[in-house]
Amino acid sequence: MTENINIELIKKAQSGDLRAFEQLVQEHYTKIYNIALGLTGSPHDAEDAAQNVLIKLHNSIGSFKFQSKFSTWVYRITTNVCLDEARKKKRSKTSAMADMDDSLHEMPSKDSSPEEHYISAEKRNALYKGISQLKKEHKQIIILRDINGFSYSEIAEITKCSEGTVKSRISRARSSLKDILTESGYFN
Amino acid sequence: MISCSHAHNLINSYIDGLLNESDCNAFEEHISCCEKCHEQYDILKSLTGNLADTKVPLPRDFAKKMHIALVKHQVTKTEEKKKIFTFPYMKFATVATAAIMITVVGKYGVYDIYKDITNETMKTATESAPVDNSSKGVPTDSAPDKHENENIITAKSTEYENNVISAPVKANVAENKIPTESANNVNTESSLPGFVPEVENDVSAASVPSTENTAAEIQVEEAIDEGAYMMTRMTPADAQTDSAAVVENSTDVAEFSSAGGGTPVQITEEEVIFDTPESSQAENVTEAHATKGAGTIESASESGADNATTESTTESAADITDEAVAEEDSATKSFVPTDSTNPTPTIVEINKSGDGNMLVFKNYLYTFLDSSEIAEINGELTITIGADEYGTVINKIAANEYIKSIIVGNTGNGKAVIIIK
Repeated sequence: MTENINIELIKKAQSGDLRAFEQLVQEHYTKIYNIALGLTGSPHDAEDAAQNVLIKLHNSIGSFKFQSKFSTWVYRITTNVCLDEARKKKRSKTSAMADMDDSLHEMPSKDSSPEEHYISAEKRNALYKGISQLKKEHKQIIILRDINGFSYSEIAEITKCSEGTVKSRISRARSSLKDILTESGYFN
Repeated sequence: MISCSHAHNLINSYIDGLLNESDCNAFEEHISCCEKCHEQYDILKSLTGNLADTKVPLPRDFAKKMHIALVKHQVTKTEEKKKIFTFPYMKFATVATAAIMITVVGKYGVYDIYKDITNETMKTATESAPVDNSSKGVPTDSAPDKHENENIITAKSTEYENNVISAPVKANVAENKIPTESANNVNTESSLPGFVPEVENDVSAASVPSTENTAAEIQVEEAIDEGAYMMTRMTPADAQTDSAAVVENSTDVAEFSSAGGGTPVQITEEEVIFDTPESSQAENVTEAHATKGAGTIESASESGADNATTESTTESAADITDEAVAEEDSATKSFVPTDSTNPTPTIVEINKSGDGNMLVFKNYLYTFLDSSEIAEINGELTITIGADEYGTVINKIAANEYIKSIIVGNTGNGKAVIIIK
């Protein structure tokens, strides 16, 4: 979506045009959902969180002042809402991980056996379980950087901190996650 | 050479490709000599790679759910605004009027007049208040308004269904275009059941419902002019009456082609080569894997069923085709991975309620698959496609309510095979 079309749509959305609002946010759905999934830990909670994100975005779009990129604004609200949701949901992480399996959406690899395919789903669950044990800032940074591929500068804008802070958080977050996963036998 | 401590400080920036050439060289020099640092690098590199792989596509009806949530929210917001600007305002206005009147009335009868005015105010406020004010002691009747809100939401949801799923059909069967999105790039449109928009750089054309049918139709027409095509989900009844869908025997190429179905590929049994050691190995589907995989598809299709159970087959997996492989040496024709110790393909039960209506689904397949990629033998459809199509096709299959189970596997030649049972 070009920048000019974006501005026009934003203004329409700010004036109450729901269709314009949906057109604006639709291209961000995948990242919104994956951020929600990473922070809440379950597909069901992620959908709930994503709905709350959209409602919050809809309520707040009038206050968007074009001082940052629209996408930055979207993902900032997304992470804040999802962190709140994760805090509120007192759900067992074990049961949350049970419905995370979507390994069949990946093409079976050339040399993979069904057993190997099963293991990759198990690894995925173990990763999300490990992420859920990180502290908030580390969880956020891993999900933004390593899962959703945001750049350091984008993360800095989203989290409203310096790139230097982002860099050091990434280092500490990955180290913490590595330790958690080592303890759980992930690398064995 | 840099120290381990220095290398440790550079490791994450190196993984993220942020080091300058000098630091890059220094880091690489260090890990080539230091086993411990090299191991740390390998672990972190593997971890970040696995994390990147955890990103998932959207659930099937995600866009629809979000739309419904937004519509509900908008309706609620509108009602809240009404509440703010009617009842309190009117109460204020009438009470203010009452206060003014009281001051000009003489001492005698003030109480009676005030009482009458406030009663009238209460009555007026009650009649105009649309929402529950039980905390303020004002009798309300919110039931009709609640139903009205629900009707609005239902109407808008229905409108969404009508515009998105039942759009005019102008399938360009002759071109048999395959969606070009990558396996991991499932957008919201493709996650909607039975709906295949193909509008480049225009995510809005048919996925966002319009409140005006005329505007929606114009957009659809424009999108189709640009090469998009849309389709409706056929019901079994439609399949029986629609001549394009009634293909009794795919060996009758002329009949099928005249019905608009393209040219089916008919592979005789002699042409199918299956060289796994024993046919009974088809039964040896790992239970854990089938359950896990089926659980995934179950959640994606939201069938509400329990996790699917393993389904073994006694059929020989010889009933499969691989037209792309057929051109190569016969010794390489194989449904199973090249590793002979892992011969078993994966069986997945997708929709427990699926009725296996192959006529309906076959017609659907021919609208987006090339005819060389699909074949039918003994009532089973076999699709052979490249890796970049696999994710898209799997999503479409999983979303189709007529398909009950599939077998997925890899030819070992860069192609995936999906057998629809």
